[in-house]
Amino acid sequence: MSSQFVDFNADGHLDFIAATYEGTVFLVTGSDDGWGEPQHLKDFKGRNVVISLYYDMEDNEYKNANRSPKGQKDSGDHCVSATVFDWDDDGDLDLLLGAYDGALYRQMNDGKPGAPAYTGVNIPVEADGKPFEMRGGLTAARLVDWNGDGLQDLVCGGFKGGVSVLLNVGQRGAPGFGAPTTLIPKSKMISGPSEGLYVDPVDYDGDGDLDLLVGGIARVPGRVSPLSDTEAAKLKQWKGKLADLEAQYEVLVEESLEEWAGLSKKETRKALKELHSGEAVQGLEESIERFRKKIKKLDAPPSRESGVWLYRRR
Amino acid sequence: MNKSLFILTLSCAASAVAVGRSQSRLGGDETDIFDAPEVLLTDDSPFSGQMYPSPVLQDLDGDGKAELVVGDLPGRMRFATRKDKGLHWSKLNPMKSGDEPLRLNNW
Repeated sequence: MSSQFVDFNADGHLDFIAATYEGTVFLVTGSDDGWGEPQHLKDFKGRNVVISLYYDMEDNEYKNANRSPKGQKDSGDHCVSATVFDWDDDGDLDLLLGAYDGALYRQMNDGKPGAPAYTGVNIPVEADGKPFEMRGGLTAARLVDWNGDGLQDLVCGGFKGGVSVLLNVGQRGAPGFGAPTTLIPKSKMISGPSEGLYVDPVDYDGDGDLDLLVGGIARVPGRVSPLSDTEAAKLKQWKGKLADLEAQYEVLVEESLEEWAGLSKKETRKALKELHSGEAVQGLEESIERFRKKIKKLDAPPSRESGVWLYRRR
Repeated sequence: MNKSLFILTLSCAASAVAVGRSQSRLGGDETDIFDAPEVLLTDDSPFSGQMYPSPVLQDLDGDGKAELVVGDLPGRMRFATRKDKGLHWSKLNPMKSGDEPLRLNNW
């Protein structure tokens, strides 16, 4: 869920917008009293702004709402990010809606600052003359003047890794975007994030150029260095102990279940609770956990871990 | 530098710029413009254990210093304050609406 801070309602206070997997867009307004409650952003008909797929909280199911231009088939796309941008340079904030599967749409604002009137029609944003699609899915698109030409470019992060910039090769009020240029490659490297890259292009270190601040998920490798002979022997011993303990646990449970064969479900649940809180089971569970931890230290499996990384511009 | 060499040099430089612009328009690769990624720390630990963190630098309180705002998959909005000029940030604190932590509804 990427957020964009902006004075959305033109009252002089900072607000923010964000979209969630609900498929809708939220506005949180700021005031002297702090942040307000999140509200759904609406179009001029009073409908929640969506691309197509959204979760209906009342009916508790996903639904589609076709908001494609007239005559075009429903994209079926699921909005998971939103940002505002004065696309046509008319002084109000239009919307850019990012779809989980990688597409990006614009929805124009026919209102005015502080009184938006979103059309409810989503127009695909093109890159290099064809509808843009971030391969592997789009986490969020952010606007920034990447190349210093005075026009807002798009920096996009990928669910399956990678960050790209789409340079604005159009003009003010009539943006046009070129083909994506890779800034961070899709990679399974362990030194940075490889999934769910949410990017903020910003001069983090104050040296005058744009760095990338990136949230995401990295692959953490399991143990990579070989075990010494002593470690290997210990590991073998601990795995044997663990297998014995797990077998004892299984026997204890099976014997108990046989013993409880004639009990009702309620009585069985009560007996199970008593067995679980008994010393025998508690002791076994503690021993099993202890050996699992010891084994994990020597035989750690690969895992995934979230984080925030700085890609400093050279 | 004689005149012809100067013109040749200028011409090559202009071509390089043109190629660079052309590559930008047509896509390409600029992956070599960044140093290796550095891990940011919150309360001296990585921002681990979070579901799809999305960081944004934003001055929330108008003191001229940017906070690090982190949204996540469950819809939480939290922020940290900068502890130094490097990679260290405070622990994450919830952004609040009234007395309640802000949370945007997910599905």
